[in-house]
Amino acid sequence: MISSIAPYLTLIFAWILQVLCFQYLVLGNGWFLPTFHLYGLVLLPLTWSPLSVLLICGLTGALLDATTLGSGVFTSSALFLGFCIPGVNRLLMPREGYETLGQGTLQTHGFQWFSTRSLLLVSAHNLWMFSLEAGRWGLLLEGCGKALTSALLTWGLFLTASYVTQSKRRKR
Amino acid sequence: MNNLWKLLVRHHLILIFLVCQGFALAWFFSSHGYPRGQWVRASLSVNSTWNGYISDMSQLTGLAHQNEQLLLENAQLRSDLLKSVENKSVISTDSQLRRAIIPAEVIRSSTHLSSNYLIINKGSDDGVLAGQGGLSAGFVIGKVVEASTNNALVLPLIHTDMEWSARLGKLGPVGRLLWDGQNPQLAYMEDVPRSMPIATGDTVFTSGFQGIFPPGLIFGFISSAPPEQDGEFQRIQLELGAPFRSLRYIHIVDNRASAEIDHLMNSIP
Repeated sequence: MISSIAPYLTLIFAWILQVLCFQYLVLGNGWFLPTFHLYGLVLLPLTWSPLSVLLICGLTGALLDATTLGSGVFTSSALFLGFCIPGVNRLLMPREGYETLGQGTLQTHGFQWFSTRSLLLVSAHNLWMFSLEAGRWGLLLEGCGKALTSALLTWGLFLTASYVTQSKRRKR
Repeated sequence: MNNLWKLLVRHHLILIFLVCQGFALAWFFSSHGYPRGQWVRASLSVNSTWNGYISDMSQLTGLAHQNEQLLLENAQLRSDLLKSVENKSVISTDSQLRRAIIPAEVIRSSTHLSSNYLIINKGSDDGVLAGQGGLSAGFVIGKVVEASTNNALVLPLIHTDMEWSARLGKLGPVGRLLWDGQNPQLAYMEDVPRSMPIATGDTVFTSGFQGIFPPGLIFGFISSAPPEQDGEFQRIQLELGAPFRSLRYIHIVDNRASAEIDHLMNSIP
């Protein structure tokens, strides 16, 4: 029961944290901008259809835009992320296929797989978002740099969140 | 027809992605960094309480700096007051300004984007309306583009899609003031004739032509002498007067004269 609603809970929890906390945590003059709402999107079950993933990503981005004056930039980049997720899943799929078909977490798939996947997805999302936000060729290079440094920060937050939830499960 | 249908079904994900992306990009480019309309007012209203809490928390960490800024602002006000007593013409439009200044507090701001914004804790109930200008310690900061009942959205000088009409010196040439999206304290003035002599420290004022501000308010100061440039015009770097990274208390200027001018403009057949 809990495992079936876990993706939705993660999605809502990550989105709320982004809106209430992480959107205010802009470090290094914009070079480190966390996009923690992606945690829920990265952890969508591997078995979900690409169309469902795409639509959920779009909806999550649109809700974030509506609450943070994003003007469509989060919707557009979340849609791009949703479009990339199935491709990245195929790219990182072991030869014998995935053993577990639920959420692609650190606990079930290991540090290397989780890190590679989340870094790839968050970097793709951020490159799209920062390029769009830059709005001109002269700022594109700096935007790409910010996208990658922000992806590293977001990845660090993903790892922290994963370890925190793992330790809670172990205590149970 | 059947083959076309099969093709559409096979590539449905790309098609749906492109359609959704089209809507998202239309939303983005229609606002193009100028978030406007009903949803912005609703978002301002919903977020205002939470933004207020966050603002209070960040205020605790920046009290010393804010205090220093207030002291500087007080000093500048006293200095302006003395000047106005000595020479009424120094701030020629102050009779209008004094009647129409609304103090406000910045509860949310960004300086790291190319389309930055400020959210202030005063809205239409307090007399803040779209089109009014904002000042901090006497320096221009931007203009109000949207106001809900209790909050307003201000687009600052550090916004890459905004252009401002500026005058070099009190009686110098008028040009465009732009921000290049990089350092939030540096902007550029363009369309200044090459024949115009320029020195570091020269003041750049509002021209008053846009109707947002009265003429004679300060944008900033020339920070470095321009390099040798070809062509008729030169591009000059200036240091903005308002401290965008630490803005806290601002004033909204209700430029009543501009409403009268707008009325006159509308009456042109």
